[in-house]
Amino acid sequence: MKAYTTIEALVASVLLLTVVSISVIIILNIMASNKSNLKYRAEQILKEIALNYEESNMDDYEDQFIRIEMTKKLYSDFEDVWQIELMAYDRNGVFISDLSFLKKRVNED
Amino acid sequence: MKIRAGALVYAIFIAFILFGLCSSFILFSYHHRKLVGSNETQLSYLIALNSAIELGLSKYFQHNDEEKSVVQLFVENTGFSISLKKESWGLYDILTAEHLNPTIYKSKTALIGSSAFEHSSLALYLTDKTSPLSMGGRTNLKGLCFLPKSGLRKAYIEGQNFCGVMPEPSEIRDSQKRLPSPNMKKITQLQKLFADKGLLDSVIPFESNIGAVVLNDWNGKSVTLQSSNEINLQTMRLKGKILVYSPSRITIENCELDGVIFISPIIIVKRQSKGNFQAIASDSILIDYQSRLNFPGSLSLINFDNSPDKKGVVSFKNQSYLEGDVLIHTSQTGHNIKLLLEIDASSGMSGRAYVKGPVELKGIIRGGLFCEEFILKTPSSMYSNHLFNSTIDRASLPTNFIGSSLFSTSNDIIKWLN
Repeated sequence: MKAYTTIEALVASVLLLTVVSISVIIILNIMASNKSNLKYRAEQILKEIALNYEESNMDDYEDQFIRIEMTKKLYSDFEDVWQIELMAYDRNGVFISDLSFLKKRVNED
Repeated sequence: MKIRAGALVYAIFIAFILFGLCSSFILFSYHHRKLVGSNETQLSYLIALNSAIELGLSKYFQHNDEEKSVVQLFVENTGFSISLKKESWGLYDILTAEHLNPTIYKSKTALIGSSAFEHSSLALYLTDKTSPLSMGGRTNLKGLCFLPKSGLRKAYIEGQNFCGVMPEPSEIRDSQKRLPSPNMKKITQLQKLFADKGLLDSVIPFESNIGAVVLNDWNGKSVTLQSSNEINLQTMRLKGKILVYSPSRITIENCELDGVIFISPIIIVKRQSKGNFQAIASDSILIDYQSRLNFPGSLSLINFDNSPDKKGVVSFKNQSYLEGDVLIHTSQTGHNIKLLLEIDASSGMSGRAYVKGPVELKGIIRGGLFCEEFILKTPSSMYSNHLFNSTIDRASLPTNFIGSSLFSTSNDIIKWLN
């Protein structure tokens, strides 16, 4: 077996360490982004629905990963204001995110 | 194989380059997340502000007049603290929602009014002064009408038979001897504004060199351009929370206006002035020479000093047009008081008019009209409660039209101001 000099060992260690660190960072990043992507996307969808409530159709926002539920109740003692709560679940029924907002109640509501 | 010791330098150099790449990758990722997070926070604030505005529109929300009310939204979740302020702006109101987070200043401001008369399809409310309403020539009356009990009849005027459109019998109801009362709180606010000479916040003498353009933000305090003499505004641009006051007369010529309120006994608009503004006067308002007041504009003529022999007129002439509200009001009653709305054959309005007095209508009203009497002047004669070659058409006004809150307690957004 060939013996390596100290210098060679040092060079190899530095390069190896660098490669390992980069790999770990990239893997961690990918794992983190995969995990948060669904939550981020769900939050985006909920906000988009809240900002365009009148024109929004829930079915347009649902996809193979996210399911959205909406509940409506009167806000506190205000009989002409809805508190609308949007909840996003994944397709396994696991809760992802929610969002509440208010809308003035119109006659046809 | 043997490598020279100098190889360590290269190895360290490569390591530094890789370290730099890794660092920039991490930094980029960090800043990207921070930016996305910041955008998300901004969106959350925006949704909370929208919610606060919706709450402020509720008729159950108790606004402290001109003062901020603090609301806590969704306390169980995030606990947004937002201040709401409703202040009068002429015939309309301004509703402002502001975050109370000292680190982020974010606000939304809306001009608000009301979407409906008591009867949303109302075209005409004419008080019952015994004489019927007579229609001659090409007069069109479309929509719900409250008319004197003596009814409606066709008339032969100036050699012309009636050949227009009458309302369906199912659309005719009996009117009372008096007009329904408007929202007196709004009239009191206008009275106060007139008495205070528009002095709400900052005052700039009109004679000082103000330049051709005056802009003021809707979120801040109002600015009053004031003069002790007549004011002639020519080819100026005024936009925002601005009041213009003169104790004698304001003349507006060829100006570009947005949101401004004019306060003076006499207000004259001429030479193709355009834009949206509100005029509050005690003697007369003349809209002339192809001037066009875009939505949401308003003209208010009010007997502020309760004079028992007040004479005044709001007049549209020479292809002038208003999109908005007209209010002519006096608390005094008597034969010597005559506050008139006059619309010539080439002029008109879209919106709602409340006239505690007579109307001389030769043009068109797309919307609703409350009035006590019609007068018609022809070269040969003068008639009472006669309409000739004129139109009142409620159907031409969009059903979701939002005007002043003179007849309804509901609040609706007319337009966003920021």
